[in-house]
Amino acid sequence: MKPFDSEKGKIDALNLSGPIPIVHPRLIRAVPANISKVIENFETVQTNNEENNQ
Amino acid sequence: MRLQNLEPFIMHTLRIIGAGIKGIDHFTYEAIAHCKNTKQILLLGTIDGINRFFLENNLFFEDISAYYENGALDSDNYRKIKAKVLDELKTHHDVVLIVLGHPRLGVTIVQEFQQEKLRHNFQLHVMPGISSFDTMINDLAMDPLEEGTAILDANRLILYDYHMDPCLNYFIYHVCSVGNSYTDYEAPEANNATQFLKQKLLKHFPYGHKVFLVTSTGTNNDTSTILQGTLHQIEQLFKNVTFASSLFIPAILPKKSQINQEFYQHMMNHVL
Repeated sequence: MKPFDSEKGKIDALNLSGPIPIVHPRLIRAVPANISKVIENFETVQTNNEENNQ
Repeated sequence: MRLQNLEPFIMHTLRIIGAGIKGIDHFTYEAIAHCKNTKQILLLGTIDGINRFFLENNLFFEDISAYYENGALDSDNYRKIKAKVLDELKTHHDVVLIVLGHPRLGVTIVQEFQQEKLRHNFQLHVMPGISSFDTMINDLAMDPLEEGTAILDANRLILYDYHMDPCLNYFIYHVCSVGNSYTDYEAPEANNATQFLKQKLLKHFPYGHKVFLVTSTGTNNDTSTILQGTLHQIEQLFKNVTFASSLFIPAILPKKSQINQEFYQHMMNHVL
């Protein structure tokens, strides 16, 4: 297995002498929009299970 | 009787263009046609060669990249960008928004415009562009269908704890922002919680499995950079992460016991 050489593999991808060009913006939100629905569904299922078990 | 002053109803048009990855050479004829037929062009991102190309074609654009602010919450940046676009739509009625890559691959504001077009009274046209997935499979010289491929966002992979099949190839996007909602493109490594990603991947792949950090270029003169590492040394690899980076995890061949024997026999009988 080839060991990873951090010095050889170092990239200078950003031109730090001037404004950084936005060549690859991250345009997706880190937290998915539906997370609150997913959690709400989980809580609803959990509540239903607790009620059914009583 | 009071007469109401009714404004004429004008349907606005928003055209979102994918500019591709490697500068103006990736711009499609379709994109050019839309740019020539609109009233206002907004550009989000840096496209190598666009200034000269637009000048030659007597086209003008407003660069709104400043709305994509380093250090701001990503959702705040997207909200500002959307507000700017909607404002321009009110003024000009017909607007082109140019984004890099393909507008349907990891672009939250396009999804939101899709959902909100009725509320804000506009038609939406989305023009595909060459995506980072297209350029990565080319740079890796691989056919994603050969062994099968999954494309995932790093944060969703960890958050939803998706099942992973090591017999598939994986492209993990946004490994620059693991557990980070801030747009830290100047120094992504500072708040990148890569330990979560490593922990997740180690649940499914062997400790010494090879992984590759693929960093796309934004010009047609340069080739992408592909750095090889191993899962157990992924932190070393991630010292080089930028907003242009994705993680490629190659597939492991399936075990013989996984083969659908009936289907295999069927194929052999019909192939030979």
